Amino acid sequence: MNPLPLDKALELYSLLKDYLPDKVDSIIELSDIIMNSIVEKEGFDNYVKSLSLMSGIPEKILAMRDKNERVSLFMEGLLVNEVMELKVFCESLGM
Amino acid sequence: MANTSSVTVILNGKEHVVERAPLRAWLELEDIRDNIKKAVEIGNRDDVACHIYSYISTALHIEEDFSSISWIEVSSVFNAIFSLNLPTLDFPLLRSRIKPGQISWDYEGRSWYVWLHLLASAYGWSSEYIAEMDIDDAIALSQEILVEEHLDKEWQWALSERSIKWNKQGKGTFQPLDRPDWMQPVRDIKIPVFKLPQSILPVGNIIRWTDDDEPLAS
Repeated sequence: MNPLPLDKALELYSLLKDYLPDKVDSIIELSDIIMNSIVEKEGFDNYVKSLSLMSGIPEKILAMRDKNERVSLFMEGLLVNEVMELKVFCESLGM
Repeated sequence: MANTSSVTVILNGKEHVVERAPLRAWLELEDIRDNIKKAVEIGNRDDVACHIYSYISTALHIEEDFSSISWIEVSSVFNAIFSLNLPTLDFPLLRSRIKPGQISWDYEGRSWYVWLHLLASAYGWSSEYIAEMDIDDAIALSQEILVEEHLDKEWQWALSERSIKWNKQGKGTFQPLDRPDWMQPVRDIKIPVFKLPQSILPVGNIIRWTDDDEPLAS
């Protein structure tokens, strides 16, 4: 998995914006916080869309994959795309 | 006052040395930054990305296909160029809180001609000279021109009958001419010191620290 280009990264931010914490200590904690927030706010669509965006795998194929595999891909995507840095950058733009 | 600093950035594996932009190039970058702000305001993500690409291409004088470059690299280059081109002094002129409204005689790229007109009419310099000015010098001089113009207007206003407001008793009061917000007096905000009532202080032991950093309960 490679980091997204800017236009796709901005789309990723718009999908995950509502679930991102202000600060985290590790990628596992970040993933936990985002997943819990997605469940709490019923944002499963955004989860699948963001996962598809980061992995390049179509949503339909992702739906057929094992749940743990999806979580693992999601964590990798967050890590590769430095999502907390993306949040800082987008906020600096006023998004 | 001229700032000749530069930064080295790496984009798509290529190293670029970016010099701090002189006035005309800086205004072009600022116009693109305005477009970024507008795109953010209307929530058009594609335009935000396009204008950021345009900002980098303009500053580096390159034509690049950004679709294969990671956002991490793009944002890093954008931030480096943006920081390089910030004015080094805190000019009140740039702190104006009032956003200029849309005016009928405005057009794309007008800002350069506004600055050129202001500086050329005050000092008689050529457009080539003004285009290559350091932004700190240009902003500082423009602010002085605008201050002088406004103080002249205030003087003319004070001499006119319209500056006096008459009440029913026929007594006149001087009404000063309004100043732009960046010329308003600086307010010195003082936070009053007062003793907190004991009832709102936290309960429990107070931990004090000795000189050797050992906490002691009292």
